[in-house]
Amino acid sequence: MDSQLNMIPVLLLHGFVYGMLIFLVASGLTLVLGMMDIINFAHASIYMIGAFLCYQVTQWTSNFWLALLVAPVVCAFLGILLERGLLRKIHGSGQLNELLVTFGIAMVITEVVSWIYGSSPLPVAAPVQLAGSCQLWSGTKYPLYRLFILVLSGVVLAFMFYLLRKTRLGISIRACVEDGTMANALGTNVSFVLMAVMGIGAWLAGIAGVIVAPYLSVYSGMYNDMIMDCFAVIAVGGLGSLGGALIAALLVGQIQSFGVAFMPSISIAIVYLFMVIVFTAKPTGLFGKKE
Amino acid sequence: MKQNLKYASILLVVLLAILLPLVMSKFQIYLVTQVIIYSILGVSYYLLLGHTGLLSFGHAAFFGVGAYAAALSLLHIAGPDTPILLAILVGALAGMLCGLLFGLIVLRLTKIYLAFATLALSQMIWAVAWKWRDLTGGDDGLTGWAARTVSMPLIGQFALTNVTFSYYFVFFFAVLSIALSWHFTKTPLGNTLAGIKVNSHRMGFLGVNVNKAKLMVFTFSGLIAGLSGALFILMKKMVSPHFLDMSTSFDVLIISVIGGYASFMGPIIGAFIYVYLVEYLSSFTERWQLLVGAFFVLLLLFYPKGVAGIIGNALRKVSFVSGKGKR
Repeated sequence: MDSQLNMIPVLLLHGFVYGMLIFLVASGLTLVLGMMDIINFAHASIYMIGAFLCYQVTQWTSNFWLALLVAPVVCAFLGILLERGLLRKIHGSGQLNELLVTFGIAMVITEVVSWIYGSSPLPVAAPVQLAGSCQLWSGTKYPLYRLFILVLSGVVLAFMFYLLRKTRLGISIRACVEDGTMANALGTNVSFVLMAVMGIGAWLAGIAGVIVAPYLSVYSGMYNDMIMDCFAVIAVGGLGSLGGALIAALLVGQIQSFGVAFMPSISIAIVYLFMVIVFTAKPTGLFGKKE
Repeated sequence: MKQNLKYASILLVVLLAILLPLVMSKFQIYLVTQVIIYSILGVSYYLLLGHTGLLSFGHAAFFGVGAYAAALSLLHIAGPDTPILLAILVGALAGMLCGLLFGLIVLRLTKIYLAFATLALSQMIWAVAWKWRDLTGGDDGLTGWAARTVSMPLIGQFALTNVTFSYYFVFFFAVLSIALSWHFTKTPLGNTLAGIKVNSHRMGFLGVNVNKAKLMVFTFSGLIAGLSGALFILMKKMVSPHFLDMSTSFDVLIISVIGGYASFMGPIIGAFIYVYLVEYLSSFTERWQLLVGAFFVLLLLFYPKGVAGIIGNALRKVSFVSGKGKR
């Protein structure tokens, strides 16, 4: 029992790291949902593409930092392409139709990726500067790379909140999430804001994909794992609510982390159980507005 | 006149289906049996999505629970002597209970929340099948009824491996359940559900108990889907957690969309196309899922009403040209 008690801070950290990763992906998803009312299944595909790009770049140049710089930018372009080429075209054809199209696109992307790279996991080495672990306090070591994930995602999160709260673009984004038609009438370029949101969301997903690569390795099934957790996050956090998504992501991260450690037999179902409990208690998610 | 034509064409299809096994190879019969089972499953999904407008991502649960219940009763109720009809009945009832349970839990949810909640519930059931090794055999699944013979009252004895027999057996239940589902959509309750699809608030104002009606359609859809699951294990001779998997739920969704999810005939047409498409594509490429996915996306982009919609348009054009149809 004593060793388990010692584990608790480490588990908290694990959960925190994973929660931040989910949030990086889910934040783009929830913003697009708030603006266009589209559940973009292909968003987690961009995360997967980010991870595979990281693998590819480290294969070619064996430089992780280059991958961290390049891959998210490529992802951002893919996101913009997706928005311009597809989401914009199908927008307004009904929520079910839009959702099904993005679902089909995600299916195609997953298949293409496993066609190119096969379906067995590919390892990506953590950069040398971040290999090994550091002493947190007496007797407890923690992998340096995970601390790096935590710091980086914290920085990205701070940047996001700065962007949303303090900049012109952020105000426009928030206005469009609140009421797109009204924002448009008041002179906001909604079409540009939408593109920017997709670009930023895909960039974040790309970052998540790159930093997850040395942590969990790269495989085509990572799409499914992530999309389920993202669904849990946006459903629990309330559709289109960024603050709600952050709290929900951290909650889901902790649940995953502690579930695997203390209840391994039900750990694969524990997030679903959490979702069902939240839904029965509050049908619009923990932070969702009443419709 | 039009009504007569409709009944005549249905009769023709049924007659064709009865006669077909006489000229088809065993493998073809096997494929058509699969088409029929997916049709039943697709129709049960139509009741939720196409007819009532309830989007579920967890339909595999009803199917899989029916399959597991039938398998378990085949193995445990009376050992090798368990009557096959009893197993199918148990499967259908288990699917029905599952539908009732899902309905009770997700009743207050709408739209995408409903989809997420049904997905979460079905994944929980999948996890149970995966982890409860003593009962479900875990990822190995259950098997052991392949060598059974079935005695049908009045007709005689048949081996389960007899493809022609299982075709007719499945076909009988398909006609029964699809006709029942068709009738269900035409009852007052069915009309109420169609109203709920259009505007559930207004149906509530009219004095309809919306939640009760939704519960009924979940239960009925579970019954039909459970039946299709039970029939499927007779054909496949095994059951595994894959039956309950998310991908099975999405297969049902794909079948409905290909055929046209908003029409009753849609999932039946979709099942036919899906089974043959998968069979044909997987025979010459390993990447058949890519092609199915691409087909799915293109169909949605250009013909969101699916193949049933295309056929409907064509029929309307023909009747318009010949001057008999009403626009």
